[in-house]
Amino acid sequence: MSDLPQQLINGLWQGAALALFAMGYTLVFGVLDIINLAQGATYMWGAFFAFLCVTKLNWPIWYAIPAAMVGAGFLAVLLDRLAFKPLRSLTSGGLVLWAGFIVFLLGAVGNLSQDIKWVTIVSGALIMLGGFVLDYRSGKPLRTREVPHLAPIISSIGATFILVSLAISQFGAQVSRFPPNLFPVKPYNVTAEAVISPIQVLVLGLSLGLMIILSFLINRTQMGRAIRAIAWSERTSRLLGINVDYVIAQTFFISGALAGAAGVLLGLAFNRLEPNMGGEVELAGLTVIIVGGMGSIGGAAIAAFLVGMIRVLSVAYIDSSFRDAFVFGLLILVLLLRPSGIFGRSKTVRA
Amino acid sequence: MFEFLSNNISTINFVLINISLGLSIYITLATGLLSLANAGFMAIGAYTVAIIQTQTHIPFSFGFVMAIALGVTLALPIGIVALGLRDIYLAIATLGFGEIVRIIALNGDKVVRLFSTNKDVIVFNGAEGITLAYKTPTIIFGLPDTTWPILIYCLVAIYILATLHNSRYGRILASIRQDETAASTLGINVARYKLFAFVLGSAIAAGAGALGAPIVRVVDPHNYVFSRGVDILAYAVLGGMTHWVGPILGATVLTSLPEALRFLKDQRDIVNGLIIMLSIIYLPAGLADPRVWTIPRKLFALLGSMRSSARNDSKGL
Amino acid sequence: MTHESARPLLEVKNLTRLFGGLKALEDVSFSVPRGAICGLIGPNGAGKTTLINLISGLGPLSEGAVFLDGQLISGLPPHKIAARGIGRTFQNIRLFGDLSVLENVILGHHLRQCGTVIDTLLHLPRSRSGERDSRQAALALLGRLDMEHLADVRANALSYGDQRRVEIARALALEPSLLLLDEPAAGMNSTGLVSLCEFLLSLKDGSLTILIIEHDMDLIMRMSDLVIVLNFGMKIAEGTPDFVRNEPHVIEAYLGKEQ
Repeated sequence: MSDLPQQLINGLWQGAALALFAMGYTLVFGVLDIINLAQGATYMWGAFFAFLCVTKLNWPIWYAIPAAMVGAGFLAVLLDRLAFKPLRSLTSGGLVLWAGFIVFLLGAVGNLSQDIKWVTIVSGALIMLGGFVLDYRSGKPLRTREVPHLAPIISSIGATFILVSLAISQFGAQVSRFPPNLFPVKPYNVTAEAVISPIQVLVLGLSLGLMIILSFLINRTQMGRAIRAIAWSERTSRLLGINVDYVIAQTFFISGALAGAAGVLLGLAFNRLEPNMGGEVELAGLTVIIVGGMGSIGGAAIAAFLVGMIRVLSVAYIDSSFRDAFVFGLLILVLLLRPSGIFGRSKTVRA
Repeated sequence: MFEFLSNNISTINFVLINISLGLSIYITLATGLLSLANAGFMAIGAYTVAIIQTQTHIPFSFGFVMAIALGVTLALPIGIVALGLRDIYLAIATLGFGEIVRIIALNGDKVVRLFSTNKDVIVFNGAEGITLAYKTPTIIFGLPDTTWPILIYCLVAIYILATLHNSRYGRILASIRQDETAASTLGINVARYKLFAFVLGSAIAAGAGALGAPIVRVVDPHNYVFSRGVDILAYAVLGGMTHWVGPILGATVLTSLPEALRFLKDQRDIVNGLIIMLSIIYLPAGLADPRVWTIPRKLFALLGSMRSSARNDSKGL
Repeated sequence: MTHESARPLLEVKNLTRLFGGLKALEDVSFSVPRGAICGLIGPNGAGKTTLINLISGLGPLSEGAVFLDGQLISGLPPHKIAARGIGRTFQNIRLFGDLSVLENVILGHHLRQCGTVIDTLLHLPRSRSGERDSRQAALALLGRLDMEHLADVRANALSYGDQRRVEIARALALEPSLLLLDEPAAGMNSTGLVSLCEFLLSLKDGSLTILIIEHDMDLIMRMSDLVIVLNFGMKIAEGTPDFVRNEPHVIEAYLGKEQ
């Protein structure tokens, strides 16, 4: 057990990155009452956005990280428009968006020659843009529709599959790695036996920074007030003149940007990117938001460190292959003993 | 007819298995529950049969019964824990369960060796999986003896679910799907019926997995990952989640379609994802919705009226 | 036997319900004699629906107890309370919209149906006769409400007033001893109102007790044997319609204090 301090440090920085992922998750749940299972795919794409910036555009990593966050944020907004918004209300703009998305997919993965491929991709993107504009300009009041209550989660499963397969078709199913020497590798000594590498310091620092920014955004700004109002009651917010669709888009942007940041940071720290990397973090993230109490951002942050520690310690002292089994064990335990979460208020979790 | 059967027997096998699997997720969806563990239960069934066949000399039929019994035994505690809570918790708990099943299939030998005197024993065989011995099928009444059990199983599953659908139980499950609070004030024990639906679905999936093992012959963890579960979900979502005809339609279309559209083979997951999203958004009641079948007629009517009005316009000129 | 009938059917004792720090109901006690129609009135937000929810087992109560026929029912899950003989309707109608009117009402009869899953799967006579009996009972109920012709219509497709009546039929199919009605006349036209009123009075045969929330004062005053008035979660008056009508607290609660 002499390496315990080292394991605790590892648990700390991994927990911090997990907290970013889970806070985005729980934010969307708190506002819209839906579980966006595509959050793991957004996380993965965040990592790959940074990878593209570094390898294709030769950007320094300091630009690539915020670029990846913005990219993942917009991806999450697009996801909302494709997967969730049509379930709230059907619009012609949504239909155009979908048509553009299918054209785009055809270009991206279809068996086309190189020139036609790019023409298809670009025209698909333009049609999607048209769909966005059409929805933005239509001042018609929204007609909400009735769908099966499982529809959003099912729709997000579909979206996950599209996003992951898209990544496989572009980057292959194998592991991609960032070029070496992005960071100094010489670790700092924390104690006599425990070290922390510069990239791990970055993960910890940036995660804590983003957590503080998020709590400021939610608690102190006009946007945060609007988000909390919608979480409380969408209908009342609409009556109060809040542009609900716009605020929901903002929420998805924040959620996606946080997932993207987590993806880049963990991708850098392990230097391991693969299209299926979202699936691994998905179960941990779900455990975190349940342990933290669904919809509670602070609870998710604390629970993330707990789950991070469990993951690291189970790998170090028991067996790496059973890591996720321990995470799931925690999940079941919390469901059994305290379904409102360890840190959550007792919201309505009973059926 | 016989030629068609023998040429396409593997497709027919898979269609039948997938119909059973589609029915297994339909029964939970019809109750308003999302269980994502059907691939996991399928794996439990397949591994039970495969391990019994490779480690002992007990006949297949016993393995099949054991598979269903094990499925029920594991579904009960999960259901009891998760079903008293909001709907989302079952989805999460079953998602985790599926992962656990995969982890155990991959690393089960490590656990077995802990308790076994033989430290090199191979039961689960990790990622390589268990290969079942090949037996040349005998043809009975025009179908191979491997197809008959699947066909009978599929028909029994259809019979059970159709009978339930048309009985008071179908009504009760539908009422829970639509408004469980209102259902509970009518004296319906919501938690019990949800557990019933979940366990029945899991048992059907385990049985289908067991019967599918001799067809796929290699039982490895990769066959039962989450994406297999999503295939199954797609059958029910495309076909319709509220009528037992739905998953039959969905499974038949989605299983035979890739054969017809081979060029889509590499993009199977994208196509599945698109089908799930588009049908849940634009076709929430699925292909089984009678209104869907009137769309072509309405379209023709619309086209006809457009043409006739165009003709009238040209006359006017 | 005289003792039996003297005991009130419903007894509510010191009922309190807190939502966070807010007192939705505070120390409410009353009892309803068997066979009576009891009106529950009060301004919006007075806690009437909360009270009915607590009696039918939806949501936990913070303090107090509810007795039906002398037996403690508070703390039981809703389906057990329904089995003890309480049927209810909802303020915002909660029919099963995808099912037909007849199926909705048959669901209310669910507790009277015997037979197990095995009976159903094997098409044994027990399940078939149970189904037939439920169907006849449901059709009879619909007949009493003049709605037989709507039996096969999807509940969603009905008009607002018809939906309310189907919901009452569904609750009655439970064959309850206590019927809780949450604003049954809301959204009905005047002819609907009259026929509803007649129908409810026709139910009054001594075995059925009704607790009814209603904003239509005419209806309440004409039908009720007993009226209970809530305001800000507290009981402010209780008595015969005539008594309550002239009670100063009640007038104040409805019209505001005179300056």
